[in-house]
Amino acid sequence: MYKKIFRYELRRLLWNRVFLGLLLILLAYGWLTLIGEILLGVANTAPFSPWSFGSYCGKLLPVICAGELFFLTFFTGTRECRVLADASPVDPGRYAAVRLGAVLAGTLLLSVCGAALALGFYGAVFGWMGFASLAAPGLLVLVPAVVFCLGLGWMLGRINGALLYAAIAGILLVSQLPMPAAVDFTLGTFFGTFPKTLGTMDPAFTVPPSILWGRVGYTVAGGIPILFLWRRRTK
Amino acid sequence: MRRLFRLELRRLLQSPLTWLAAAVTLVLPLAGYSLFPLLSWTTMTTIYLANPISLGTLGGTLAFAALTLYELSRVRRFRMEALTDSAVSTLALTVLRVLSIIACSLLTAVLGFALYGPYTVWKLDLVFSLGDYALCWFLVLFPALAFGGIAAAVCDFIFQRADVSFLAVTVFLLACKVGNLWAENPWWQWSLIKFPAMSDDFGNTLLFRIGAYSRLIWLCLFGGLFLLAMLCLRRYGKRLCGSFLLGLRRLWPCALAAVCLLCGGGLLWRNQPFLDHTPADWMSVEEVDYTSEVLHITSTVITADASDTLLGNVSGSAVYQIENWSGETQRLYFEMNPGYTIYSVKVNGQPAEAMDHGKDYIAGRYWSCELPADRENTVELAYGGMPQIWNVNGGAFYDTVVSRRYVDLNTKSIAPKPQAEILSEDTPYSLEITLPAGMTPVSEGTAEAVSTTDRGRVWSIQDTGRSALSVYAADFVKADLEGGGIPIEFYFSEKHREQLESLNAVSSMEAAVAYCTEHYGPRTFEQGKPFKILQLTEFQFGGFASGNISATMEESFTVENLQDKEKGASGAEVLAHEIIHQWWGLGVMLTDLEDPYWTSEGLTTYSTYRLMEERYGEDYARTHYLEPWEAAVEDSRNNFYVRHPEYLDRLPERYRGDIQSTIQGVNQYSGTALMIKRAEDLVGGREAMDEILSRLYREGGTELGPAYVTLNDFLNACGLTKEAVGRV
Ligand SMILES: [Zn+2]
Repeated sequence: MYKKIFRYELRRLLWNRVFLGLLLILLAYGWLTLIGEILLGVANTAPFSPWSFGSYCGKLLPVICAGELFFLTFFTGTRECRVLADASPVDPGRYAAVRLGAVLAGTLLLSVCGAALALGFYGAVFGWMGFASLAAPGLLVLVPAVVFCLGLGWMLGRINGALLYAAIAGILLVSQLPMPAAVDFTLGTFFGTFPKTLGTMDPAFTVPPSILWGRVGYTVAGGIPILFLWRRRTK
Repeated sequence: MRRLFRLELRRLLQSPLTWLAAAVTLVLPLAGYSLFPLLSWTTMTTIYLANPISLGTLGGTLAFAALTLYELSRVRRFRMEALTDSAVSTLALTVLRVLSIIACSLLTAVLGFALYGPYTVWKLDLVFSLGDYALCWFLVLFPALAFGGIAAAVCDFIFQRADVSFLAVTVFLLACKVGNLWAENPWWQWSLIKFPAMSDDFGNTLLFRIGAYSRLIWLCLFGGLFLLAMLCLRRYGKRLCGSFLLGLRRLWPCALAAVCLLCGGGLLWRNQPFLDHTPADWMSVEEVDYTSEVLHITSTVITADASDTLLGNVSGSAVYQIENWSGETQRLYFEMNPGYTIYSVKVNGQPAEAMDHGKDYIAGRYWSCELPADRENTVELAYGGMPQIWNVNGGAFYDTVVSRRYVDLNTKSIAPKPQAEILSEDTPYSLEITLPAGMTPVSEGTAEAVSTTDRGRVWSIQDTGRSALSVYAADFVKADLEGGGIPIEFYFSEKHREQLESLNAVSSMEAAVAYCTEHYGPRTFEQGKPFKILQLTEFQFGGFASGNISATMEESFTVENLQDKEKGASGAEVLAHEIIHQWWGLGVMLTDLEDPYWTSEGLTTYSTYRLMEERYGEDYARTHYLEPWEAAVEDSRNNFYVRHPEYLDRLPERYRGDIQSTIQGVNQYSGTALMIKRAEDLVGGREAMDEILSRLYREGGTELGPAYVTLNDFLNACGLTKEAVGRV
């Protein structure tokens, strides 16, 4: 039953022109970033180092988050969900979870496509395949930001659907502004400057606690509204 | 009809596809800022206005073409279902629909104008011009969207297929934009007007004049084509030819108007008044020297009017006293801007005939008249017209112009320039020129305001030993740079007055002048005349030096350049760097056929460092110059590809080149400066190096001639090798 709703919602997200357009924009932008900046290597590391890959993920992040918030607008169109909600005897809490799951799955697909582009590029250009080392920076960038946007977007969507568009604009703006490294949404400054302070060439991937706490902060800030709203709905 | 139009417009405004077209048009400019800049010039207006507008214009053209095709295909579908025929004729509905799309494109431009306004004002700050901003949206962007719609409609009327029509419009756009055949020609640019760059401080009048003229041409052409294509709309199930003949019979006034419009457009195109007709293979044209050795100019008196800021016309009269030493009749030649005509010639009071030789060559054309055998002759000319620019690259050099914010008239555009010898260094030259109010002229001679008329301000410019000079006028402010022995006058746009004052730039530039004069030699060509450094428009592309005038590009004054740490530690120090270019770059050019990073920048940066060391002491110079250079060079040495060249070899050719030039880029400023610093140590210190540089400045190099100093010239002068200074 919930599986069916999930599949239905996911198809609604993925099977339309907007998703296709977003994916195309993401890939085009990713390609330009790869050949324009990443190819040179970030902070004198290899273009396929965790640092460069993390920087690449950070560059794509605004597009991915904008996509995620955009998916959330699908569920603020009140008409459709009420039809479904009224017609079937579902638990609203679990129903909300299923829909958030669908949004997450769509966002995940975008992220995987973006990452796959870079991995394919590394493989094709450098014949380099050590992809496992790239998981940590990728997750460090993507997970907190995606969770944060999910919570923020869901909360705003409950208030007013139009706020989601404001959130998209806000995310795009925030990722352009210079921020202190710890709360930098895209971690651009961290990947660009931190490796040079480590004093060795091609340093292994490490994360100082301040950055880690910043990322935890984003995750928690996004997770709380989800848990809170969800619990209130299930009561 | 009015009601129907409103109805149609409202329907369009409610359609999401209209909004999609508008969104595409308004989002693309964002990518123009840094992702896809179409122009590489670095004035603020180019970066924050020309680049975004260009991308929005090109994308919007296609978006609105697509929107039009979608809407017209709906008309076709409805007509097949015979839904609309009863109420209103298909023809009227089609025309209304195209008109509403044009209205939508205007609304898009208004929306863009409002949305991008605040950011553009903020970024451009003191160089923001409301006029230029508005023209960018309403003369550049809006007509392109409308033309995109009309072009699509024309194709659709003929082919009756949306896909074929869209392809046709796209191919037409690309052919005009990227094809070798037309891309350089401003009149083929029906979507995005020809945009070489944009000026911050001196207006973009000529750019917009040429743009407006090309819009007029295409309005006629597209209007004519639209009317003609309307006749092709299928009627009563007939095919293309049948419908056309039937349409011709029914709507013959339309056909007549179409022919008139097409002819009008063609005539406008053929007789465009902006570009000269220099042959495309101008390099192979053999220049004839018409200068007569037996004719000598003894005095020149010119009265010119350059106050017409609407069309930019110039008119004037010139009186030349000429001695004929041959005792025979002689032909006297004049070189003049090809846009001008000589209305009348009088020789010794008698009307004479002026002959037009009719061959344009680099914004010049020769005229001539007959001189009698008398020794003393007075030649009076009346002339005028709109100055034309050289047509190379479709007239990218939009420099010769008379406008509200800028007047730039070279020797050939002030008056006909007689091709004869000057009698002596004391031969008087006098020009009385009327310029738009609020301008200060700068020329080789001395200028003085004499009166104010309702047309503008009359200036008297006096000089000796010449028969022609050039005049640059704008809201120039003069700063006297003392300290070099000879007076140096520095002219810059009023817009930068506060900025330069707050930077305390004048004292920094004075220090640069004093330093270079003392260490390398004076920067002058003509004794007894002040040396003038002008800030000039970007359309000169690179600066020049001639006689006692030297130009520095306006991009030296942009906020971004003043923050360029490679050139100097502060804005004032960057301007000192730009002044030092008067010695290294304009005084003598540094270039090398083999080493692309041996340019005027390295030595200029080194001289800036030495100057700052003298002004602020060794510690300051070390922390702000030597250490950053070393860090930059060290950083480029740590680059991944430098450490692992095997990965560089794996890259495809085109990326490899890009990466190598990025890594080596450090060599242009910091790397070369550091190399000169190393050479300084090897030749025995600062004084020894200064002597070498001074000799290079005064005598030039030998490898490419005295105007150039190559890397080998430099190393030979130092008695060093590339290996010794670490340049391999
Ligand atoms: Zn420079």
